[in-house]
Order: sequence, then structure tokens, then C-alpha cells
Amino acid sequence: MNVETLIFAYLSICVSMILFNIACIFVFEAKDRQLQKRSRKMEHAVEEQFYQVEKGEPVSNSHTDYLSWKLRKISHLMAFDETMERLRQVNPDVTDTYLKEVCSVFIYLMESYSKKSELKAAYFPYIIYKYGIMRNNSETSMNRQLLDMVRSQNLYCRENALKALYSIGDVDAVMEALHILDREEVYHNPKLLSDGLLLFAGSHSRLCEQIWDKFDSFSVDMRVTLLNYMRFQSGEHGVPMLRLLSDKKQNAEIQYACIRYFGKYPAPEAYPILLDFVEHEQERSWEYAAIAATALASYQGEKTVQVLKRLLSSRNWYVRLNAAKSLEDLGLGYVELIDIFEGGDRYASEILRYCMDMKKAREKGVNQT
Amino acid sequence: MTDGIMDAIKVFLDGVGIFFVIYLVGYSTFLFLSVVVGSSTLYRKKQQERMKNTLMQDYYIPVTIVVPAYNEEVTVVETVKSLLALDYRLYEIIVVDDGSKDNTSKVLIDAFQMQFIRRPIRYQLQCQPVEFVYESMTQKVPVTLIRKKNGGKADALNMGINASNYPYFICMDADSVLQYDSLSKIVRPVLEQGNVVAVGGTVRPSNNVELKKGRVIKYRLPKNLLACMQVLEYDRSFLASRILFDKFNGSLIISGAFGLFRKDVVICAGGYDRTTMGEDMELVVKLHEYCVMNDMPYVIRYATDAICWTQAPERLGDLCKQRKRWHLGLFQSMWRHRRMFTNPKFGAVSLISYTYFLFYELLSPFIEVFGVLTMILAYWLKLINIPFMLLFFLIYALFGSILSLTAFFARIHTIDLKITARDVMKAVFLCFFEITFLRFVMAFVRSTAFIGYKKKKLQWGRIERKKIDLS
Repeated sequence: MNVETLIFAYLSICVSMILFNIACIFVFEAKDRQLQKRSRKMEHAVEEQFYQVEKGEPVSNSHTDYLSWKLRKISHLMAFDETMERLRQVNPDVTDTYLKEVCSVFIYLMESYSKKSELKAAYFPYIIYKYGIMRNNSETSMNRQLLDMVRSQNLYCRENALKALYSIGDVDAVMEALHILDREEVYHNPKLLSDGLLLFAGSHSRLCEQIWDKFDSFSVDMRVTLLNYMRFQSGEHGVPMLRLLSDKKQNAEIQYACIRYFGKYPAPEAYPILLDFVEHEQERSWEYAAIAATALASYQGEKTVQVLKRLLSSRNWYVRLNAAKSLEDLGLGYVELIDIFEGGDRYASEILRYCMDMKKAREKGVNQT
Repeated sequence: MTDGIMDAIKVFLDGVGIFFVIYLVGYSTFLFLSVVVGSSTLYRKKQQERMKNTLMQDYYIPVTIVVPAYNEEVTVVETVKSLLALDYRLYEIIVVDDGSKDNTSKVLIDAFQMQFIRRPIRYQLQCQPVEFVYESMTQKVPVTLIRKKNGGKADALNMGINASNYPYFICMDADSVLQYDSLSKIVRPVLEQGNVVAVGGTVRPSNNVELKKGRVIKYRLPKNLLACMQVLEYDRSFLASRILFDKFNGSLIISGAFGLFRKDVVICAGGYDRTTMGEDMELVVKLHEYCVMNDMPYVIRYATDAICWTQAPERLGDLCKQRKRWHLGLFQSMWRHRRMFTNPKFGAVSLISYTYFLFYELLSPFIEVFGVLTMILAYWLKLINIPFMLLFFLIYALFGSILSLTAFFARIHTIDLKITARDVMKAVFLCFFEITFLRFVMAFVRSTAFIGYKKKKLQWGRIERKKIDLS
């Protein structure tokens, strides 16, 4: 093949791409127009059912058949999304009741969507989650399909399926999803998981109970994620957290999560352990002392102040900084901290002065706003 | 001229001809592949968004935005205001005034009612000492101003990293504007994948673009033709090479105007090199080297939808200065990390990325100037088929123009920008002009970049700044 032929071949493909791009502009515009048209048509059909629902009557069979037929196609599902979005803003209660009435359509459609490409399949659980269609209405076949999606290599498919499961509120299904993620070793960002679990629509206390029951069966990374979720969720986990915190053989990351928990929810039983972490700073990694120094801000008392002052002379920057921030959080003023400011440790006085300056700047900011 | 010399020249010209055919076919293939891959990636991304294949919740990763500034009194306040309008919650802004001779610090202190703070800095990375620190707690997020002794852009960035409170930082230019959703878009790859150490954003010229609170209100191609050609050039380069390199973790450049980095890895790798002019590229190459040599799994990603608007130079002199700087930076980075060349340990980064940058970026101006000189020689000796040469040049120019247009339209339709028919005509006309004229001027300029480069060491690249209007 000579060079000109090759260049011409490239050229023709690029011309096709330009045409493709131009065509895309028109196709997307046409699709948007069609979406609006479909959505208006669907809105008309749905509004008729809204009257029924408002009267306390069930949605007609012909309407569920219509939805089952139409929503097989993703373009119609997108139109349905548009319609519901609009109607929900006008009439949220009736929309919710209507969606509960038509949930059988979604149970029926789940299987066909799970067989579509991952790009399209991910859209379906998004709709389930967005409108809470299956809230407190767990259905085995749907859960099974969603759990299959959790196994997907595609992040969005996985994430949307997880959100749908959270919205259903079934403890067992969510536990199964967590085990799948842990077993399959698919990377799923811990923040997505811990924040996502907070969306769980069922009983959080039951979910946490299950998590504690099966806690040891999870990997360390997953355990840390779950502990973070529980820290954001409530302060009702003091007993098992304390057990983990006091276990000297426990993994360090797990213990850091527990220290953070007791920083947020102070407990007298945790106090001596936290003090021990900071008093024996040299025996452990510096993170123990740094995180515990932050947690101690929630424990008022002479002993705390004394320990934090000592930490200001730590060799580690983060330990010093966190101790200074905690002293400031405890509300100590210049007089109480004069020994540090007048003392011989320049690093200690510098970091403390910085925290005090910041406090003043914050107060001034509050006054100005 | 004797037959012997003529024969030798013919052999030489044949050799040159063969070299250029291979060189151009290689380049065309690369450009072709990258534009095809780039366009289809953008198309797929658009489809993903339509079908809600995105992370929609507020998953906030704490980020420090470091804005190095030198004599930026005209633009710096508006830049910080634009950063405060970002649609993101957990971030802080650190402006590092690198010993400006104008009122950069003063305008900031006045505009944001900043307070003097006696702040100790933990010098994990080398940089010039701090002169004073001011902070403002009256804004949506903390804004810090650090004034330090002059040491160059890399030095200022190192200071910003030293002072940052969060695990990720963003570097940007003081004359740039981040789009309102750019922060949430640039952190997305960190949530999507483990081991992400850096993410590059997309830089687009803002000349003649109307922005309000980081949102594009009206998109028009710049009135200035030079800036307009740079729009096409930016679109081609960001769409082309960066998306393709991203496919195999081979990005060697993250623009200094907008990039996200994991702080701990950058600190371990040594931070920004204060002795190079291309600190942005040097850091990325260094990250590759650091991670590979330490057997550390890592990913460097490119976020096509995280957009930063920057001012493209509108004067030829400014553009020449900028390109010379970039070329010197490229040379310094590649020379410093030359052990990556043909080193199997670095895999595709060495085999494809490094080789591409060496032959088609670093050496290309010399090769192109050499090609032109050879053509003059051949013409003088009447050894050139002029109609064929013109045809070949025309095909090449047409090919390049079509690639530029493909990239331009792909960008336009995938980020929902509306353009006028007049702008379309302008793009069609100028892409041809850019390939046939500007490219050669730039090749010449880049080939002369080394003249007097020692004098320019550690100086800030200056181009004429205009006040950013975001109101």
C-alpha cells in the first residue's frame, strides 16, 4: 500500500467522523425533542391514573400493561423519568402512591434490563433508587438481579444497583451486597460505600446489628468502611467499638476508626484508652497519638489539658497540630496556656499561637457575617 | 557540480525522503488513532451521562486549590471569586504570592478582609521562606494568602503544597477560571478507581467566552485570529493525545493550568522541580518514575469534562514566548528522566508516550525545519517534483485540518455548547491556516527556544493579562 492511499484512507475516516459528529448534533437534538414529546404523551396517560389514585382507587390494569410494554425501551424509560420528575414537583404524595401502585411493572422489567448492555442496565436501578419505587417492598427476584449487578465490573452499574438496594431497605440484601463486594475484590471506593449506606431506607439499627454479627467475616478494609458508616450513622455502637479499641492485637486502621468514633461520641470508658495512646506515643505509630489528640477535644478535664500540652512538644507535626487544635476547641485562653507561650519550646508555642490566631479570625468572620 | 557530488546528494535526498515518509505516516497514524479514540470516548461519555452512568451524590474529597501568583493584581481577585463560586463544599484556597512587585497581596487582603495569622509552615518540600500569611474565614471556604520570597512558579507551588491541609491539591494559574463543576468532575476519577495519583483537567481558551460564576453564558470563537487558531490547537491536543494516552496510563503532561494531585505521593517524589521551566510536565514524568521505581501501583488519569478556562495569548510575541518556554520545559523534563527511554520497566509509558514526545514533540521543530531546508536544496538542484510536493503538502494540510475540525466538533457537541454558523465557517477556514502557516512559524520558534535559555531560568512566563469579567 502506498502512502497516499493510507493518508486518503485516514482522511475518509476522519471525514466520516466529522459527518458523524455533525449528525450527532442533530440526532441528539432530535432525541431531546422526541423525549419531550414522549414525556408529554406519557404525562397525559399518567395523570389519568393520578385521578384514580387520589380517589383511593387502584391503577388500571390497562395502564400497567401500557407501562410494561412501553418501558421495555430505554428511550421510554427516560421519558418516564422526565414525566415523574415533573409530576413529583407538583404533587409529590400522589406521585409516590402511584409509583408504589406500579411497582409490579418494575419487578417485571428488571430481568429484561439486567440483560441489556451495562450502560443501559445501570439506568434501571437508578430509577428504582431515585423514586424509591420499591421502598420497604423487598422482592426476591428483583434483589437477586440487583445483586448480580453489584458483581459487575462497571462502577456505575454497581453503584446504581447498590443505591437501589439501599432504597429498598432490605437488611439481608444489603448485607449480601457487602459480602459480594468484599469477596469479589472489585475496587469500590470506601467513601461511596460508607456514604451510600447512610441512604439505607430500612432500619439502620437492624442493619448495624447484622453488621456487628458478621463483623469478623469482612476484610479489614471493609470493616473500616463499615465502622466509618456507623460513626456517621449514630452513637449507639459504644460497646462493640470499645471492645475493638481495647483489643491490643486489633488492626491499627480499625482502631483509628474507633478512636474517631469516640471523638465524636465521648464515652468515659474510652477515655483511659485514649490517654494511653497519647501517653505512650513512642510505642505505637504516630497516627494513634495524632488521632487520639483530636478525639480528646471531646473530653474536658485537667488531665486532658495536661496531656495535650505535653503533646505540643511531640516530634510529629500532626500530633502537635492536633493537640493545639484540641486545646483551642476546649476553650482554653492565653492565661491557661501561658506556660506554653512563655516556655522554651518554640515549635509548641508557634503551633498554639497559630490555632489561637485562627480562632480569632473565625470569631471575627462570624461577627462580620 | 560533479556527478559524484550529485549522486551523493541524490542518495541523501532519497534517504531524507524515506525518513519523512516513515515520520509522517507515523505521525498521521498517531493523530488518526488519537482523534478516533478521543471522539468515541467523548461520545461514550455523553451517552453515559444521558443514562445516568455517573456519580451523582455529594461524595466530597477534601481538596486544596493552590494558586501561584506573580504580579497578578489585575486578575487575582476575580480568580479567587470564581473559585469561591465552585459547586463543591470541602475545599480551601491558598494563593501564594511569589514576591510580586505589584499589589497582588494587598488587593487580596482588601477584597476578602483577610487577617494576619502567625502560621508555622511545615517545609516538606523545598521553597523560599514565607514573609507573611493572611487568612480569611468570612468566605464559603477558607482563603489563605502566603507571601514568600521570589523563587519561581514551581517554588510557589511547593509552598502551597507545604501549607495545604488536605490530602489532594489542585494547581492552577492565577489568570484562569475553573468551570463551576470542574472540581467535582476532576475528583471523580479518584472515586472511580483506586491508586489514582494525579488527574489532568481540560484547558480551553476563554478569549471571547462569556462566563458568569464559572458557567458559560455565551460561547464564541475569539475575535483575535491567533487566539482562534489556538482554540483549534487546544481542542486537537486535548482531545487527541491526552485521551489516547489516558487509555494506557501513559499521560506525560498535566497542564499547569489545571491538575489534581495526591499530596503524599507528590511529596515523596520530591514535589515540583524548581530548576525547570516545565514544572508541570516534569512532575508528571517524575511521578511515573517514582511509582514505577518503587513498585507502587498507580494511575494517572485525564478528566475530559473537568474544564478550566484560560487566556490564550493574542499577540504573536506572547505566543512565541509561551511556546519557547513550553519547549524548553519539555526538553528539561525529558532529559532529566531520560532513563525512561526504551526502558521496558516503564512499559507503554516508555514505548509509546516517551517515544512520541521525543520524536513528535521535542525533535519535531528541528525535523520540520530540516525538512524545509532540504526542500529548498532539492528545489535549487532541480531534484524535486514540485506538483507532487504540492499535492502531498495539500493532502497533509487537508488531513491535519480535518483532524482539527473533528476534534473541534467533537468537543462542541459533547459539552453542549452552541456555536453560530459564522464560527463554524471561521473554524473551517482557520484550521487550514493553522496547519499550513502557524504550525511552521511555531516550529521555527520552538527550534530557537534554546537561544539564551539560561537567562530565563526560574523567571515567570509573562503574557499580557486582561481583567477577567465574571459578573
